[in-house]
Amino acid sequence: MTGEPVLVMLVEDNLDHAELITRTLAEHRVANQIRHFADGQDALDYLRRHNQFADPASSPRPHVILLDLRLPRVDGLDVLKALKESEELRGIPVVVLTTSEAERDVVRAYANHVNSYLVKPVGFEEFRRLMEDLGFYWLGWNKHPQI
Amino acid sequence: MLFQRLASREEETRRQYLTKRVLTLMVSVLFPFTGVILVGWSAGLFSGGDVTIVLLLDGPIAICWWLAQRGHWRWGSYVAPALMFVLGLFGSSSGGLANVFILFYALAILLSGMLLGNRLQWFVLATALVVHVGVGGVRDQQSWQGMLAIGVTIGGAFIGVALVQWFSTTQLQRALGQARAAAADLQADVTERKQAEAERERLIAELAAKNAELVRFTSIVSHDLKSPLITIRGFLGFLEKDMLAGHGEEVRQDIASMFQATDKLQWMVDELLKLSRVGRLTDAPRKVPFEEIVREAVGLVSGRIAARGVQVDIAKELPVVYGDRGRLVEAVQNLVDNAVKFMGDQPTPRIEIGVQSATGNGKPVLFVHDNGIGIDPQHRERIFDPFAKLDSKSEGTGIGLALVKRIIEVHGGRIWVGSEGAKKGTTFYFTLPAPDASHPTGEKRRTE
Repeated sequence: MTGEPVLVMLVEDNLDHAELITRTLAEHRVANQIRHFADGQDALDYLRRHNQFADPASSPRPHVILLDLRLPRVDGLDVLKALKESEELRGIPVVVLTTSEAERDVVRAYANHVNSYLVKPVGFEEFRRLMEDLGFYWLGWNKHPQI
Repeated sequence: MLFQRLASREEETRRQYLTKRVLTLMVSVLFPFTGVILVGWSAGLFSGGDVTIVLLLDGPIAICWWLAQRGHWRWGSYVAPALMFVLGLFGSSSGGLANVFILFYALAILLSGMLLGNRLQWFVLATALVVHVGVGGVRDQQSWQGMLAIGVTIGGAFIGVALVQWFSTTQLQRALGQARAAAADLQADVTERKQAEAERERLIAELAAKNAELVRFTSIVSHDLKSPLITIRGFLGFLEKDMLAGHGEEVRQDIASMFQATDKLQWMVDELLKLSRVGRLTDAPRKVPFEEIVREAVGLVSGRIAARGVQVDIAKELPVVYGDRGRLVEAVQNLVDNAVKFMGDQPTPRIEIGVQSATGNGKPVLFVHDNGIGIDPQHRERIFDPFAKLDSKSEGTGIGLALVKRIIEVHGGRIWVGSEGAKKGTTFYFTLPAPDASHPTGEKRRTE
């Protein structure tokens, strides 16, 4: 890991789940900062630096995006599609983190070039372990491009 | 069953064919031989020196003819008239007019054989024999035997030809009739089978669609039901830690989150139960003026309508529909409720309920239109999913539209949404069975 601040972008409409993820990730101290967006449109606006996110200094690129699938306004799969179609943004690893185990969703996510697909475990301990592994893998072990 | 019928028909045809063959054989053998015997008899008895030649030639003529008729010797039908020709030259002792007739008929036989086929030759040959024998016998002898010969031969010839014709035509007609009947049966069977196949295909497609919907539904529902569970388990984990660490405020928050999650779970289960009850009757299906349904549904939402200051316009000419009145009221109530809920900041909120001209299949298209926040075209399918939440700021659609869709579909109708896009209002269109249409409601209910 380099000395640069590590930013995780969390796109999750369920506020309780967002808190769960934020708190468990924070426990493991793998991320310096977590930015939470409750719908797909806000997340895209941030990444595209539209509206209130126009200033690049205050809208740094995330090191990894944790993306829920069922999102208000713009659906998770549409966010994924938009990211992977953008030359500028497609290098950012996108990890789908959802409750859906449906094969249809998995297939569609990979068809849209998702980097990883994770199903939220129901048990608290499993949830914590997943967040730990996820943090260490994507933010520690994984080498990502400078975007 | 069809093949049994065809087999029995084939057996019947085969029996009839054999009968025909035997009769034809009898006619084709007996007739020329009768002719030969009669010719020989009349000529041999009364024309003296010609007897030998006549007998010698009439026998082979008949044999040639018979062989040709039986299909053993094709040239027989040409050799027989040729022999006739020879008979004409030598068979009559006095020659003259008789020979001219014989010559004429022999040529006619040849030509008819070449041009028209064998059946006519029978007739011509018979006539030629009659003329030959008759003219010769009568002119030479003026005897009653000659007259008898003429009569018997003419009669025999005509009866023979008539019999052959009769057998072949009646047999042909019967065979044709049977073939037509078989073809009609086959056609009916094929049509029946095609209809059955089409029905099967339709049912398979319907089942596949239902199955796909079910898979989608269970996936959505399990996803949604799992979500509060994750919250509860997660916050239980936090609760333990926070309690051990003595963080009083956090403990309270953890418990509050868990309460919220259990409330949500409770709400979802209740909503799903509502959805599962759609298949059950509240009222027996009957004819109901749609206006009556609309008025009752609007009445049930009147509180919300008044609170938001929505103007509701109901068309005057609404059709009579057929269905479960209670469920249809529930459907319209949900649509109106949904319209009020998604009015946004519209200063003059308005809902319009009416009917469009009939679609291709004759069903009138009913609609509930509002001038609220509208719906993005990309959400047109998702909007009918249970618990679909299209806007992070709204309360979410819950089960309402899924319920409406299910009620309409249980009635054999269809529902779809039209919107010019976000902030341009929404129109829900749906069809319901007309009172005189077949009523799928009852049938479907039985299976559920």
